[in-house]
Amino acid sequence: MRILISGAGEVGFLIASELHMDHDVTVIDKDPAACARLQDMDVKVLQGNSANARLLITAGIEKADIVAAVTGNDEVNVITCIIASHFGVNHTMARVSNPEYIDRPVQDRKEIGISYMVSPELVMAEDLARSLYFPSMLLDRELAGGKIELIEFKVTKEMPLQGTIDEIKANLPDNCKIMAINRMGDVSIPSKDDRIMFNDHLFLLCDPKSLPELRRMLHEESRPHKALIVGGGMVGFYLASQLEKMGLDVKLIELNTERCREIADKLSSTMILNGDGTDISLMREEGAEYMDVVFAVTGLDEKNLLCSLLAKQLGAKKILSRVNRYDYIKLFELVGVDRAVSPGQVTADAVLQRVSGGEEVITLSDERMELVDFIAKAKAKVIGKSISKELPKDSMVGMILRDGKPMMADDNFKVNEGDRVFVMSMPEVVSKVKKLFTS
Amino acid sequence: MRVRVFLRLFASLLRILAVLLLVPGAVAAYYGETGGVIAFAVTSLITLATGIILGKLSTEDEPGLKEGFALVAFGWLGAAFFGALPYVFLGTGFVDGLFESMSAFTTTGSSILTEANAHGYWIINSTQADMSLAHCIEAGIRNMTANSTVLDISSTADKSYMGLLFWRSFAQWLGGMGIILLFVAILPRLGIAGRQLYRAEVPGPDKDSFTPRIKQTAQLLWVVYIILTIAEIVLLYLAGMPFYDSLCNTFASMATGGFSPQALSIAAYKSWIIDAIITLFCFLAGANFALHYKALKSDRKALFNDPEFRFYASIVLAATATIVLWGGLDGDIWHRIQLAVFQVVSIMTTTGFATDDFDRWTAAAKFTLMLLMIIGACAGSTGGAIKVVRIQLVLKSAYRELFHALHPRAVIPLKLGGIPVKDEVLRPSNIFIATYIMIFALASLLLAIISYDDPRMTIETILSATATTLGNVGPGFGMVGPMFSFAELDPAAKMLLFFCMWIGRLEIVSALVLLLPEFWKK
Repeated sequence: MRILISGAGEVGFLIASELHMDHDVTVIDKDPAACARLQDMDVKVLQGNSANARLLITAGIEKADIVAAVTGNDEVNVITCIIASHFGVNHTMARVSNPEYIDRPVQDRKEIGISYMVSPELVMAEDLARSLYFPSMLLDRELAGGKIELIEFKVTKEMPLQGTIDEIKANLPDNCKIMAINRMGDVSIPSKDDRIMFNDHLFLLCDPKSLPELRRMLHEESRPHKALIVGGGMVGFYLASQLEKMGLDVKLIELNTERCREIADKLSSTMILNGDGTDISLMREEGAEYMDVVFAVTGLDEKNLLCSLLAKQLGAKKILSRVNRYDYIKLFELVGVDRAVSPGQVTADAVLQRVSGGEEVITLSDERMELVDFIAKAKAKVIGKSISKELPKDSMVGMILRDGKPMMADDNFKVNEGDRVFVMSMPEVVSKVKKLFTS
Repeated sequence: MRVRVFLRLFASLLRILAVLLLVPGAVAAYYGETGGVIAFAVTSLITLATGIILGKLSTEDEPGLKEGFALVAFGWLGAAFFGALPYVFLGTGFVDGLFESMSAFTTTGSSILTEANAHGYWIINSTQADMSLAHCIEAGIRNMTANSTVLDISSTADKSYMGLLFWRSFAQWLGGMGIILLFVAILPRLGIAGRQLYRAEVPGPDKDSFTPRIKQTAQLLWVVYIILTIAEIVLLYLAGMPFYDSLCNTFASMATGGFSPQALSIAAYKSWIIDAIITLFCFLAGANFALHYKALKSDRKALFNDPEFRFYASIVLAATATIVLWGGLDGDIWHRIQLAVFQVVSIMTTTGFATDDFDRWTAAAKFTLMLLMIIGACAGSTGGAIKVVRIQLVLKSAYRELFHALHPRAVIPLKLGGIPVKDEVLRPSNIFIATYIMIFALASLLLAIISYDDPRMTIETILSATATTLGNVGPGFGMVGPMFSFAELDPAAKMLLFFCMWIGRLEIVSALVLLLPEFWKK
C-alpha cells in the first residue's frame, strides 16, 4: 500500500517505523531535524507544509491509499485530510487534540472527508481508564472489535501462579494464554519451563468471557475505588470523567489555578486540588498512601516520574504514568512505575489498528515486542500446517478467531484460510513471522 | 439621575394605572355602589391628570440604569399612593389607606380592615365611612337628584364594598407578576431600559431572560400568568365558589397575595375541594414562572428537573410533616394534614391565606411557619421573602467552606443541578441574605421602640409583623395573627411596615439604591 504520513514527530515516527518494511511510505514534515531522524528508514521524506496541496501532489497523494496526518497542529492535520479526500483517498486519519473539535478518543467524521479523528490525549486517557477491572491490572485492550482482549497485570504474592508455565496453564480459565512476561522492563516470551516471579508483569490474551473467571482465580475480586490523578490537562480531565462514570472516588491534583476552576466546573464528583503533585505534604494530606491507583499524567516526564515514585513510596497500590518521550518507557518501568504509557505510542497503535485492508493489523507496538494480527490468506505458507511448530523462536501464537469465535491454539493446531491469528513476537523475528503469512 | 427622563416613564406608568383603576370602578357600578364608583372615578381622574402633567414636564431622552431603578422604586411607591386613594375616599385613614394599598400591590395581604357585613364580606368601619369624601359626594348628589326621575340613585341598605375589595385583589394580581413587568410588556420601544427594569424588578438571583427580547419575555410571563389565573377561576367556580369570590381569591392566590373578600378568608367556604384548589395554585404560583412557561411549551418535566423546585417541594413536605406531628392541631390525621398543607403552602409561597387560627398552634408549628415566612417562594415566582434558591446557595456555600477546612487545597465549584454557579451570582445572593436579616432585625427594633407603650406588642408579634411584611406574606402571630388585623398598630408602625413591604417586594437593592448619594448625581 502507499501510505502518506504528515508529521514526523513521535507518532509519525512510530507509524513509519512499523509500516516502512512492507509498504511504500512517504513522510512530510516541516522540521528538517525531524525529517533527518527518518534517514535510517526506507521512506521518502519531504520537507514542507502538508496542508499545501501542491506539496501533497508532489508526495503522490493521488495514488495514496492511506493518509495519516499526525503533526502537532490540528488544523494542518484536518486540512491535509480534507485535501486528501478530494484527491480520492479513502482512508484518512487526522490527529486532533483541541477538545472543541473532538470529544471522544476516536471519532468518525466522514462527512468532512476524515475517516477517523484520533486524539492522543483521549486515546491515552481511555487506555488508562480501562486498566481498572481488577486491582493489579495494568492494561486491557480490545482486539478484533472486542472479541479478544489483551491484558497485562502485575503478579502479587496472593496469586496462585506458582510452578512452571505449563503447570499454571491448567489453572487458567479456558481461552486465556500467557503471551509475554515483563520482568523489570525486560520482555520475554515464556517457554514451558519458565517460572513466574512476584512483580512480574504478565501479558495474556483472553476471551472477554473468561475475564471474570480469571479475576476469581487471581483472587482479585475487588474493584479499585480510590484513584488519584496528577495533572489536569486533557488526559487528566478526560480520565477523571471516565473514572467518575465508573463510580470511582477520584482526586485530581493540578497546579494551574485557572485550569482547576475550568475542570472543576465540568466534572461532577471529582475533588480538584490546586497544588503540586510533587508536594509531599499535599500527597500525604490527601491520602496518597490509600490510593488503589495513581495516574501521573502531567505534560512533564520528570514530574510524572517524581510523582509516581513519591506515590509508590507513600504506599499507593498501583502507579500508572504518562511518559511523553517514548524512549523512557523502559526506564520508568525499571524504577518502579507499574506501567508507563506514551501518548505517541497509544496513538500510533490506534492509527495502526485502523490501517485496515492489509493482511495484518499491528495491535501493540513496542520496541520490546509486537502483537500482530494476521488474516491467513489462501496461499499463505502457514495454511494447513501446525502453527506452533512453524513459528520461529521468540514468537508465540496466542488466539485464533475462526468464524468470529475465539479459540486456543494447541500444539497441533492447523491454520485454515480466513483464520485471524494473533502472534506475539520479539521484534527481531517479526519479519520471519510475517513471511509465514505471505504466499 | 435625570429627573425629567424618569418622569416620562413614571407618567406612562400613571396613565396605565389610571386605565386599570376603571376596572374596579366598573365592578362597583355593577354592584350599584355609588360611593365606590365615585371613589374610583375620582382616583382615576387624579391619576390621569398627574400622569399628563408630569408627562409635559418630561424629556424624550433614552433612559439609563439610574432612571430604570428610579422607575421601579418610585413606580411602586406611586402605585401604592394612587392605589390608596379609593380607600381614603371611602373612609379609611390616610395611613391605613397607604398601608392597605401597599399591602395589595406588594402581594403582602396584611389588612387594616376589621369589620364584616352580614354576608361575611369586609367593610370599612361604618363611623369612618359616613364621614368619607365619596359618601359625602354621594349624599350631595342624592340630595340634588332627590326629586329627579332621570337620575335615581338607590341607597343600599346593607353596606358593601365589592368594588373596593375587587381592587384589593386586582392590585395584588397586578403586583404579583410585577407592575413594571406589565409596563415592559405593554410599552413600545423601551429599548435597553426594558432589560434593566426587568432585572430590577424580577425576584431571584439569576435574572436571565429566556427570549432574545425582554419585551417578549415579559409578555410570555404575563401570558403564562393569565392562563393559570383563568384555570383557577374556572376551577374555583366549578367547586362552588361564587363568581365574584372566585375572581378575587384567584387574583390573591396567583399573586401569592392573600387578600380574600371574606373576613374569614378561605375558611369561610368550608370546602376541602376549594382548599385543595387554592393550595395547588398557590404552590404553582410560588414556583418559577419561566419553568411554567417551559412546561407549557415543550418540556413537561421542566419543573421536576429543576433543583430549586425540588428543594421547594421538599421544604413544603418537611414543614407539613413537622406541623402534622408536633403542631398540636385538632381532628383526625386527614384533617390535620389538610390544615397543615394549606397553611404551609400559604405561608411559604407568601400568600397568607388562613383556614385555621394558626396563632393557637404550638410553638413548633409557629416557628416552622416563621421560618417559612423568611425563606419564601422560588425565584421568578410571584412570591416574596428570601427565595428558596438563595437558601440553597447559602447552604451549599456553607458546606463548601466546611469542606475547604478539611481539604484546604481543594477547588470546589458551587453547582446547582450540575451547572456551576458563577461567583457574580453567588456573592450578591449571599450578601442579600445577610442584608435581609439585618433589615429584618433593624425594622423589628424600630417597631419595638415605636410601640414601646403597647403591652400587646410582644416579641412574637413584633418579629412576626416585620417578617411577614418584609416577606410579603400577610398575617403574623399574636396581635397581627390571622384572626386579627394591623388596624390597631400605631400609625408610625404602619408606615414602618409600609416601607418593609416595599423593600421586601423590590428585593432590597432596587429600593435601597435610592439612599446612595451617588444615585442622585447627574
